[in-house]
Amino acid sequence: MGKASRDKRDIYYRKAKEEGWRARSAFKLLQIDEEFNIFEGVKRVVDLCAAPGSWSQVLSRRLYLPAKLSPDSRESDLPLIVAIDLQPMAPIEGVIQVQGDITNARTAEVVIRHFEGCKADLVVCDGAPDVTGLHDMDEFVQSQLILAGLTIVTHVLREGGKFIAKIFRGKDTSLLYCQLKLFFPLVTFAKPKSSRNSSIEAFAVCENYSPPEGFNPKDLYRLLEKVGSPSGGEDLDCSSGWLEGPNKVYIPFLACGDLSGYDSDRSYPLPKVADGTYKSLDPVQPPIAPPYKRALELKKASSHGIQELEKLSLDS
Amino acid sequence: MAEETRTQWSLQCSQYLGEISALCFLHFPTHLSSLPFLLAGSGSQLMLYDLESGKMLRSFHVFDGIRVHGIICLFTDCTEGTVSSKLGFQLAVFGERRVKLFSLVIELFLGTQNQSGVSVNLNLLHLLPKFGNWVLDVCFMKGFVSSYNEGSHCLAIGCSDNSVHVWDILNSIVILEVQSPERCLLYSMRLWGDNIEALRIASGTIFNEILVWKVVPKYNAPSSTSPMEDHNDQSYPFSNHVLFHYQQFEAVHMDKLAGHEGSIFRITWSSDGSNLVSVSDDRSARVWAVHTEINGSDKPGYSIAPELDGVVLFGHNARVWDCCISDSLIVTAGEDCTCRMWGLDGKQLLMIKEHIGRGIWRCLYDANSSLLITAGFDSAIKVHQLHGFWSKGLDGRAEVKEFIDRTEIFTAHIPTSSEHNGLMDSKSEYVRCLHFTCEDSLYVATNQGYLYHAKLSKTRDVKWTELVQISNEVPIVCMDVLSLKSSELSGGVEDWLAVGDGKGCMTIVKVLSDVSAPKVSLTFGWQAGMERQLLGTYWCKSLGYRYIFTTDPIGTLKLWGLYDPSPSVSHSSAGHYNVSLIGEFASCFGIRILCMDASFEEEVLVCGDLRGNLVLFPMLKSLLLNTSVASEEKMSPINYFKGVHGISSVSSVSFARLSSNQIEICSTGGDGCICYLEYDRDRKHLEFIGMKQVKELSLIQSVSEDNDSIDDLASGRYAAGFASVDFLIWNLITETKVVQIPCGGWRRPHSYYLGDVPEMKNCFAYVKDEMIYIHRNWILDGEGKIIPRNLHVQFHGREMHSLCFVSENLQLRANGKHNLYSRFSWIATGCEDGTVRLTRYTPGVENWSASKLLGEHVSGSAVRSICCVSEIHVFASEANTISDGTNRQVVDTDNGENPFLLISVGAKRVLTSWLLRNRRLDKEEALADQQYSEIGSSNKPSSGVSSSMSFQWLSTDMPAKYSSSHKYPEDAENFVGAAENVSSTKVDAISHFQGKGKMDIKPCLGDKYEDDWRYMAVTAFLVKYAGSRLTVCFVVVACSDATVALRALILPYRLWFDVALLAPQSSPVLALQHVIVPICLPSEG
Repeated sequence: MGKASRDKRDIYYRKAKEEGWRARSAFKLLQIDEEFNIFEGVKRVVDLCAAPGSWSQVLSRRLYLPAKLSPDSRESDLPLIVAIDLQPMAPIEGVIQVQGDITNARTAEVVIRHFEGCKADLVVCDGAPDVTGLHDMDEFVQSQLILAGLTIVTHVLREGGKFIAKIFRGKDTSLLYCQLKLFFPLVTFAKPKSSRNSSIEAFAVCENYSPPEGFNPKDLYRLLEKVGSPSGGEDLDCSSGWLEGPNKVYIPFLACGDLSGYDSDRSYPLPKVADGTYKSLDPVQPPIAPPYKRALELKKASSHGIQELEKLSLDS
Repeated sequence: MAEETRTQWSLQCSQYLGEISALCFLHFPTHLSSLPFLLAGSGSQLMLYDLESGKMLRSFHVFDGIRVHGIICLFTDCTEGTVSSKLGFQLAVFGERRVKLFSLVIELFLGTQNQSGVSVNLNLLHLLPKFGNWVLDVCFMKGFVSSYNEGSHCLAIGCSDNSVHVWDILNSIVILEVQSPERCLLYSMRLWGDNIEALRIASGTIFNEILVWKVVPKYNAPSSTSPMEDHNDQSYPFSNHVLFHYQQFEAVHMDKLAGHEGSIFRITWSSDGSNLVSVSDDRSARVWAVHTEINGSDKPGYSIAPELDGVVLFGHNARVWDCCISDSLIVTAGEDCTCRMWGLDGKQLLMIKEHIGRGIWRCLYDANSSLLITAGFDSAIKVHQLHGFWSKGLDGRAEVKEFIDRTEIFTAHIPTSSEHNGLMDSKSEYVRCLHFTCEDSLYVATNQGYLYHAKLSKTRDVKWTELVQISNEVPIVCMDVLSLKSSELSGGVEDWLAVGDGKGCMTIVKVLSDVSAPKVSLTFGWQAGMERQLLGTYWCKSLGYRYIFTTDPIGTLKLWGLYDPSPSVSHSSAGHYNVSLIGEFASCFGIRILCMDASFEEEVLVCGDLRGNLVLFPMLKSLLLNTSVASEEKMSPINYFKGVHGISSVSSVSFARLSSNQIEICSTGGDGCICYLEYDRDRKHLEFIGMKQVKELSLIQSVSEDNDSIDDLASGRYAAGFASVDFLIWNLITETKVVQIPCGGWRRPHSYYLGDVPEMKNCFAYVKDEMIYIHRNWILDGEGKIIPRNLHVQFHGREMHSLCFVSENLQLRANGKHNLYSRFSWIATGCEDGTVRLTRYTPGVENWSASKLLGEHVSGSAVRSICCVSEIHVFASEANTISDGTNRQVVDTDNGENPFLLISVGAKRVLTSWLLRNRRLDKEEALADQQYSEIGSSNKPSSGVSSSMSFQWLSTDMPAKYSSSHKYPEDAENFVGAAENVSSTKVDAISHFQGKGKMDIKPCLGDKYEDDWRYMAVTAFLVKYAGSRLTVCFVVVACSDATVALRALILPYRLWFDVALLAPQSSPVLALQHVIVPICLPSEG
């Protein structure tokens, strides 16, 4: 799809470029904030799976920059933002980058060191694996990623803090909900308007972190598995099957974003420019090196090999 | 779909049609069956296939609400009796957190027919307790070699938390649970090993690494400790190693394999456990040697391992999903819909691309039978037999042998070409034309005017016979051969060769041949055109040898009649024929004609030209039969269709199916498309009714007809053509490649000949470097067997946005026929890639019976919504009473059947309508019945694919690209004025729109930027005024700009109008449904 065509089709793609966001997902966090006011009083934030960095950008613009520009700000008072990803990303003002694995508890120690021993008020996670197309598989890997994120959360989040994570809504959503409920009394699944209807994506907004009494972060997985395998649901194949029927869990679900605002499923005409030519902007941050970069490089050589092979079989 | 029970309705889960997520071979003792059976997992179902017949034996629902992620089988026992042999298997099927253990008993009845003599029984043996994490792999093994009692079977289960559980099948307890200290997010895991001591675990992480580990006893405690009670209690300690029955085990890290640059999607172990192949997000596969310190005692086959380490297989154009490895090759399959075979040295040997959609999810290779199975998101399971493709070299590496074992390759010179060894010039001797008449007979025409016959013997020799030299040193430019059963030689063949030369002379040579050498029995010639003006000559099979056509560069086709002046003396082979020009057909395009077909009965002639146009001419019987015609007649076209194949040449054209007054024309072209047109003889109307693009071919030479098919539009089963430099034969029904021969492209002289089953019988000859190469694959009936290539119905393979039931009852009721097909149900589906499919299923029958492509939206724009319309709401009005009876009758006979439309809408505001094809039910009845009886025991893949309902493309509406090309002229609006009464009253009748319906005809504003709006939903209804010729199909569409519009399609004229813009919405409407509320009739006019 050409850039201009995508501009027409996807209002948020266009707006993201106009406003200088690295990805359209920035709007999702902004719209969640509109609804939940997640940035209120926040001094320390962790952004998990941050690359390419659009959520870090939001954090920087909403927390760091206003504080920095206010006249009575002091260096020591500025909000701290730590972004964690395996991949490096282009620097963002006020964001400390940590290259690390979010499944690893050692990463948490690094974060806490950056916070000088304090714990975070907010943890956000917009990470997702490349979808395969098998929804159950994608949903599973995504929920594994969130639960891995919980490892960090249990280490770095202060009590009463918030956790926001991307989820894939599917048949096991209620299971994930119950798992998150163990640590957060208030869990809402939110769908910002900038997230397309056709996408199974939504966001878990978890508030008021309060781990179970006597909780030891080492027991996290045991606790989570316990939710996954209750005594009653043994003969059901589907993991969240026991949450149907009498045990049915009703998950608070909320559409957020200004309802009169842009609709991601709607196409909007491009603005009319005076000279009649609309110029499509380049993406703010071009894609980082994809994993298949080497495959592309080697493509030529290997296809050359095939030709030789064909020649061989022809001559024989 | 229950037949009788009207009172009680319950939802019943039927067959799943979607991705195939697991494959597994069931191997039999070789004396019972040479080919294995196949188990496939799709959705929560398990399907069992007999690969020999291609038939699905049974399907089972094994899970509830979860997908089958893997199947592992273990052969347990075999009891052979005189009547039947019973084979027992144990199956472990897993999905998500669940593992189920089944016993599968297959009873093969001997003596009876292969197909019916199989009974299958699947019983649940044990439901394993649900695991805390997803199960990624399971593996049957023997328990402990050292200490446990012999013969006890265990199941090792690998979980996504990088742990392994061992389940004792006999005692139904978990006997071991070990978790690797390396906690990581896993995408894949594969286990290998015969027993716990040998167990190896390879875990593929989403962070690009493979962790290899094993379990070892923590200390060697004596095995005397009594077994503990069932271990089902929740409070077991979670540590890296767990105390179990009598030994403590722990995970020992063996290796961390890093190198991939993306998540590891799948891993496979070589059979001896010394190598691993992994596939990844980074589009590569890697081969690893597993470094183990205890490998000294391993099998000698291990010796190939070290040099394999580090081989990287690059070639896939997208993510790679699956891999398998045998002794001599590696197979990978991926998102690019290709399956690739690689030598162990990393060289790509073969690529298969037959799946569609999102890719191939699973591949499986059986080295014993050389069978490769691929299955993917498109739900198709394809079988590829690699005949001796790889021979194991001494060093254990694969060597490319011949392409296919059974193909004979002949190479030959024409006899006189050896005279010229120097440089070629226009006078040199070289091959100009090739023509197969049967699998062992090839005619060759040369630049110096020679005609040869080449006989291909079984011993790969070519026996040449020089037939005649047409004229000295004049090149032959065109040749056609008509092969007939000889009237003179019993059991022989007479070939009528028509050749045209560079001087414009035609020569007819009649060749008689039987077992002995071919003999020329007749030669005569005439001047058919000016020098260099004779470019093509064509026989027409339906007209016989008495009529021959010639073409020139400017679009004229000449029809010549050949008359034997002495018909009574049939043996006077030396007799001279009289030739007369019967008619001249001049194309209105003035472009060279490349192909033609004529129908004697229908009195029409169709020609395809170099620039993609089709021209129809009258060809009256009287003209053909009037032998004493004195003056040739000049014919002008009765109709034409410009650019059927764009500007690419038309390579073949044929009358595909004839009915009383309608003729279907099928053409193929250099654009890789097969096009279907319908010619109405009474109305002299030529209309386009459908096309199929064969993506694998860039030029389609011809389509073979399959007369057994009861499907109209899919009458061609095989397409022969070219893709860049390769000659290809493609099976259009199973979407599989039959033959691919690199030959240098279609510009070289070439010829092909296909037998009744082209998979087994095909010949292709081409010229390269003065050499004629002939590839012949000709397996006589009974000599060899081909196995069915496609086991499961092919489907979209991508995300579907829309689905609609097509009720045949409605259609039949509309046509006043009895309900013949209630046992079939039809579903139309629209996909994100723009395709619309029609799929049939039979309630109560275990398999989907057919799915076929209806068509594609313009430029592949996504289909968002589909609806079907059949019932016509007829408006009685004054017009009814005014119009006299005769007038009405005309209308009725004109549209004897109500139109049955399917309307699909989607991206780019494309609105496409499809019309159910008129059909003669009486003929279909028998076939459909036969079809039905076959379904239970259908053994031909083709029978599962032919269908008894088909739609033709009717009309597409989409916004024009630029405002200037928007033409909604005034007169068009006036024209609709007549129909306007209808629409205005009609809209009132629909309560849903009442009050909202604004009747302003809104001329379409040509907004430059609006061309990326998309339709989100559609609903439609048909309206007709009694007595009117017109039927109006009102279509309500919801667009992504948050508007809902009423549009009208006027039938039979296929004109589209914007009728009204319904009340604006604040956000896009995602679903539409209309309600018809009858109000007082007749209308107010």
